[in-house]
Amino acid sequence: MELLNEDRQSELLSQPESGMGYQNVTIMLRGEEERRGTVFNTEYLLYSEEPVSLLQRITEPSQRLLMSERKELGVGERILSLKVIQSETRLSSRVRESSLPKTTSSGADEAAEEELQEEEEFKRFSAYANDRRVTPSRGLLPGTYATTAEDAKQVKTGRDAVKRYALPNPKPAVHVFTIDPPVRTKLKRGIAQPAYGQPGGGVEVIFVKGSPDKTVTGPVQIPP
Amino acid sequence: MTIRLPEKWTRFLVRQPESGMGYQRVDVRLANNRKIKDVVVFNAEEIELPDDCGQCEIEEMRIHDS
Repeated sequence: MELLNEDRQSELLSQPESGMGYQNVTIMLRGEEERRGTVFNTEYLLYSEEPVSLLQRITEPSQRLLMSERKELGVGERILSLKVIQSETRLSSRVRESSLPKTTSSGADEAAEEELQEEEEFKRFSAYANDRRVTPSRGLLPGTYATTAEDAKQVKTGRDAVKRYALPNPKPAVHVFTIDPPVRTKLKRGIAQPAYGQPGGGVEVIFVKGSPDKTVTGPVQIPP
Repeated sequence: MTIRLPEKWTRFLVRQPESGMGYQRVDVRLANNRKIKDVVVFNAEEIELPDDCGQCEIEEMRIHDS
């Protein structure tokens, strides 16, 4: 059983309930396969093989301490992501939705490829000044993520970037690169989905074939 | 635990697409044949592995297919 922190709770609050007060979820754990469980009140995660009696015990402070000592209670350190399992009704409504015109409410990896029609500036937030995706000749490697300069205006700190683009690295992404690609650069645009305990919601852009030499400047540093 | 990757894996990873801004999700096979799925690599150089894998050599790596 895991006691979920506020970030995990926010992640779950952005997803639908499975029933009143609980969510059936799949849990991606670091270095392991998926597991299943149920989250109560977005706070207590009970793995599917665990007895529900743990839920009653956790509300008593002395029992909670005992559970921690016996390692029956964790704080979700190994959780990479939590996803609510969609019911059949939701899945069928999703099928209907997919017949509608494509929106940008999903991640960039699911978006259709497009060509840049006019000059536009992009930003890339990184925890590393020596960002490996930026080539020595100041281009971007194929398959590199960034965001629009417009969306980047919402980001004032490195931690803002971690939240807005649902980055798994908790180190603040304080190094900001600017990308000025030429028109006809191939892109995919989407919205960063909640993951790694972060809410996401920012615009994400994939440079499908990268960006040519001399199109990247920076980094400039922002506060952590 | 975070482990710095040997340069050969960094060179491999920079030729692969990212999974998100600044990171890649990969599957690895260790020298002891243990397979670990969906681990995160930051900046093509720092991999997050379970604590008991600190001394293990990576034999095989590929981008995780989600």
